[in-house]
Order: sequence, then C-alpha cells, then structure tokens
Amino acid sequence: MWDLLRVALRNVGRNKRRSLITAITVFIGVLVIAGTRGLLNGLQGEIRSALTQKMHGDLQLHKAGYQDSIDASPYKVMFRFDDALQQKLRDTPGVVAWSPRLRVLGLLNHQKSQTTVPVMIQAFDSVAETAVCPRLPASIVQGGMLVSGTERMEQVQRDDDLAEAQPFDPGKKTRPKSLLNTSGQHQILVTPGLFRGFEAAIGDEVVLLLQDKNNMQQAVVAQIAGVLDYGLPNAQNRLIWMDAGTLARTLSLGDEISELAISIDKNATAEDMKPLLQARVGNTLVAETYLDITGFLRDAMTLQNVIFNAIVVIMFLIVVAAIVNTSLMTVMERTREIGTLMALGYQRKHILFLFLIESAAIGLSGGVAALIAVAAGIAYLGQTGMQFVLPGQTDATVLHPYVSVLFLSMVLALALLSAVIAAFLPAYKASHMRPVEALSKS
Amino acid sequence: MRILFAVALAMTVLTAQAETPADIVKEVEARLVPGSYSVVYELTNHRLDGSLSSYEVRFDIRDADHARGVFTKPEREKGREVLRVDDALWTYLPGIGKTLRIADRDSFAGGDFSNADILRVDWTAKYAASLAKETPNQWIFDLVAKTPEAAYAKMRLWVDKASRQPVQQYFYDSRGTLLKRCRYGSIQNFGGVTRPAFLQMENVVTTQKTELKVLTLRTGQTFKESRFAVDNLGK
Repeated sequence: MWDLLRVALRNVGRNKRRSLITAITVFIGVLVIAGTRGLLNGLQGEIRSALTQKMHGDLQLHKAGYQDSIDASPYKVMFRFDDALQQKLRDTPGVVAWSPRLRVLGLLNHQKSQTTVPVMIQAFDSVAETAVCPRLPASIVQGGMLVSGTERMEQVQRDDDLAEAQPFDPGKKTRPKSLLNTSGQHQILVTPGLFRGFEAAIGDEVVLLLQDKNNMQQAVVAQIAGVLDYGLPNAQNRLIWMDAGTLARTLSLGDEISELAISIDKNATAEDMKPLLQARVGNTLVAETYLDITGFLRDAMTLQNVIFNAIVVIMFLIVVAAIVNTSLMTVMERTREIGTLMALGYQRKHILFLFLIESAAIGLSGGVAALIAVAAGIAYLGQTGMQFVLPGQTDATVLHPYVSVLFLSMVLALALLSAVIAAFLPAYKASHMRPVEALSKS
Repeated sequence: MRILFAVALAMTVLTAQAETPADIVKEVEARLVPGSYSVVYELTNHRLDGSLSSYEVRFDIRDADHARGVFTKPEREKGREVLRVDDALWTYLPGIGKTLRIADRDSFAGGDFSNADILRVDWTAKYAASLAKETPNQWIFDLVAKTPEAAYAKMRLWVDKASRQPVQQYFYDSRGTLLKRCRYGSIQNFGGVTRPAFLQMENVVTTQKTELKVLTLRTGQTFKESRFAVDNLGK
C-alpha cells in the first residue's frame, strides 16, 4: 500500500502540468464555493443582525392577530405589560432583556414647512430598547438618540386666555397669532425620507396629532432629535419613534403595550427559544421570532441558499468534468507504464488505486490551497468588513463574511470526493487493460 | 305694592341665580341647532399656499342624531352626501356610487371643521359646563368631556351676555393643548332664529383656516324617516 502511495505521489510530481491544471480546477471550485458561502453568510448575518439588534429583537410577544390588525386597528391588539408578565420573562431561562413598545397611527405636522403626513408611531423606553436592540443608537445618521429620561410632560396649562373675546368681524383681516403653547419637552426620531421631505433640521418643532381609544383628539408638541436609518431595503418610510411613557400618558394607555421585543442569550437561537417562551406566557400571547415577523427574510434567505446550492452543483460538475478529462488523458499517455506495472506483478486493483490516489492527492492539494486562501481572505474581510450601499439606502452597510470550520471541512471532503469520483472511470479503464496490449502501445 | 315689588325682585334674582352654566350653554346650543331645520352652508378652505376651495352643502337636520347633507357646489362635488344616524357617519360618493363609513374626527370636506363640528352640536349632552370667568360683557365657560365619545377633551366657549350669542370657542386635548379656535360673527335673523351666520375655524397646529357661512336657514321642517336611511343615500 505504501508503495502504491509513493508511486502515486511520484507520478503526480512527474506530470506537473497536468497535475497543476487539475489542482487549479479544484482550487477554483473550492474557492468559489467556500468564498460564496462566506459572503452569503456575511450578508445573511448582517441582515439578521440588523433585524434583531436594530429593529425587532430576537423574539417578540404579541396578542393574537397582531400582524393583521396593527396597521388598521392598533388599539385592538394591545395587551397589559403587568408584573405577572414581567415575572414570567424573568423566569424564562435564556431571556436576557425586553423592551415594551407601543405602535399607533397618527398625523405628523412639521411646523416650519406646515406639512402634515400620516405616520406609524413606534414608542419605546430608550434604555430598555437599547438593551434589546444595541445597534439602534448606531443607526442614528443625524442628530442624536432620544433619551427617555429627559422627557418632560406638560404641566397643567396656564389658563391665561380668559380675556374677553373681541367681536369677530369677518371682513376685517387679522394677523394670525400663534396659539400653540406647550410646557413639555418631547423628542422624536424620523426616517431619512421624512426628514428630507420636510426639508427639516434637527431641533425643528413638530406636532403629533393622535386619536386615543375613544377617538378623542390628542396632541404632542415635540422636537426632531435625530434621523434613524435602519439601513435595510424596504424599511418603512413613514415611521417615527418617540418615548413610550409620553405616548402612554398622552393616550391614557396605562400599562398596555403593542408588542414586547425580547433579546435572548447569544448561545441560544430564536427558533429554540420560541416554544419555551410560548409555554411560559400561555395562549393569550403569541411568541414570534424575527423571521416570523419578517416573512420576506425567510423566503429571501431560502432563495439565496437555493441559488448557492445550484452554484455548488455546477462547480462540482465543472470540477468533475475537468478531472475526468485530464485523468483520461493521463491514462492514455501512460498506457505503457500501466502495462509495465502489470508485467511487474501489479494487480488490477493496484492500478485502480494508483490512479485514484493520484487524483485524490491532486484534489487534496488544490482543495487545501483554496481553503487556506479562502480562510485567510475571509478572516481578513471578516475583520475589516466590506462596505457597500444596499439598494434604496443612503448609508453603507458593512458585511463581515465568515465561514465555519465544519463547512470548510465539508468543502474539502467534497473536493476529495469529486476528485476520486472523477478519476474512477479513467482508473477503471486503466486497470482493465491487457498488459500485452498496453505494452505494445506507443 | 312694595311687598309685591320686593317679591317680584326676589323672584327675578332667584331665577337669575338659578340659571346654571349648562342652561346658558344649552341656550347657545339651541341657537345653533334650532330644532328640526334645513340649512345651506358655504364652506371655504384657506390653504397655506393661498389657494381657496369652496363648497356649498344643504343640510336637513332633525336632531342631534339625524342629519343628512348634500353637496350642491362645486360641480365636481355635486351629489356627494353625508349622513349621521346616531353615532354612525356615512358618506356617499356619486362618482363611484358607493357609501363609505367615516369617523367623527375626520375632516369635513378637507377643511378644519371635523364631521363632529358640522354634523352634531350636542355640547350639553357630552360636556359638563362650568363658568371659568365672567367679564363685564361675556361669560367664559369651560366644557369638559363627560363621556368618552366626546370629540374633544375640553372646549372653552365665550358667550356674549347681552345677545347670548357665542363669540369664540377653543378646542383642547386632554392635557390642555389647544387644537383649534372657532370665531363666531355676523349675527343674523333666520326666520326668527338669531344666530351667527359666519364661523371661522382656525387649526392651531396647521395654521390653516376654514370659513363657514350660513346662506339660508329654515326652521320647523319635518323629514321622513327614510330621509335618514343609509340605503337611500344617492337617491
């Protein structure tokens, strides 16, 4: 056996050009497969990270029917965030932090431009939200993050306008006086689209017009504290963020919330935690992972993986075809050598193994070289990051490609396997030559 | 004779003292909603860019719970209808031949009056009135919502003492933020009903305003029940 191995390796060295071509084919195949997976992992990882650490958290608790009703009837799907629920969260192993949120509809009026647009309002406590979505503050592209601790509710308004009203003369033009008077301090964050649309500046005054549960009109006067850009394609444009306490008091919501965003231990997965959390909170609430919430992401990732698998199959076929070609050429060129070996007592199985070992050695060398190159490249890019702008975004997204050792091992095994499979037919052909005929061929 | 005079004076004082803020507000309300009546309003919306849009609407109003309005001008809005039956509001769009449910808080004809402002004046039913201040010429009443169905958390109403006509009205949210201001002018007599013929609603937030003119008003009208049936909208 050792003799066979020695002879096979010597032959690899002797047929340098052909061995090199085969090794390069394997190298390219492995490089493409492992490199693509690394980039895809980086892209999927960034999207996953953005969704969990900027937007949704790993898991969310909702009232049943939340996804269908939140836009049309936000008050219908609210639930109480009481002590009992908080205790259940504390008792659930793997739950690290949570952030109660409110989502309601309203009208946003920008005072300077006097532009009014309908918006979805998402409200949170800045400390709790940052614990669940640690990348949120980094998504502020202008201005600063809202700070719940600095919110100040309006004092009871001074009833200073108790003066006698002047008789109204419709024909007489009067200068409109500003009647907007507020003693509170509130901050909102807006999307880049709204900010551009209003031609706004940080600190500009806006008025939020809301309807409470009883359709009574409520208003909040606030300043634009910052511009928040999730940096994700298809992110909602008419969305603003404000302090949950302010919104709850304005709408007299008490401890009712729309959704509860939850972050989990980094060693746990959202899919594994979901049934655990569901069992803990009972049937009144529905636990959903970030993938459940953003159904498009699951589909997009599945599609990406299907395309990647297609690339793997195509590369596998190219590599196999290339190795079959070069191996057949090798067999044809080395007919007399095969005949000599057989004349010296080598059996057919020895000839078969000889060619298989040669091919495996070439596949292994090409594969290992490719893996070293991929591992080095991905390690470098993973460290420095790859910046590019996603469609529809203004800020660059940074990808950190990565690939697992398990996957690299599988790719190497695939390279070896494809080399061996590709060499089998030529090796079989060589092993079944008749020594006399083989020796007679030039 | 002196005794009789003293008794009459005492009766007058007692009667005057017995008049509560709710009574005065109810009297103002009765001027604006004089029983079962037909009225034609001209509404003009003043946009911030200086443009104007005007509408003419004829209303048949039986009581606070039954009202039906038909747009008569401009031509493109002709045939559009609004209907209130109890707490429900509908609009009929002749262009598509459909009836849609709308909300009290929605803007009426894209202006600064809400549907509730135009189609239902039932202050004393939904608000508790108290006297905030009395000046030599006016009473200033605070009207605080006593039911969750009220459109505003609080209103302030200025009433002229001599004529008992509304002069000005403020609309607030529940934390006292002023949302809108309505000013009343051009007191006119419409077949025995003396009331303001000109209202100007200023939206404090958007700084836009809408003017409402009462063109005609006829009281003592009777309407068939079918006039206020949703199925009859557009017919």
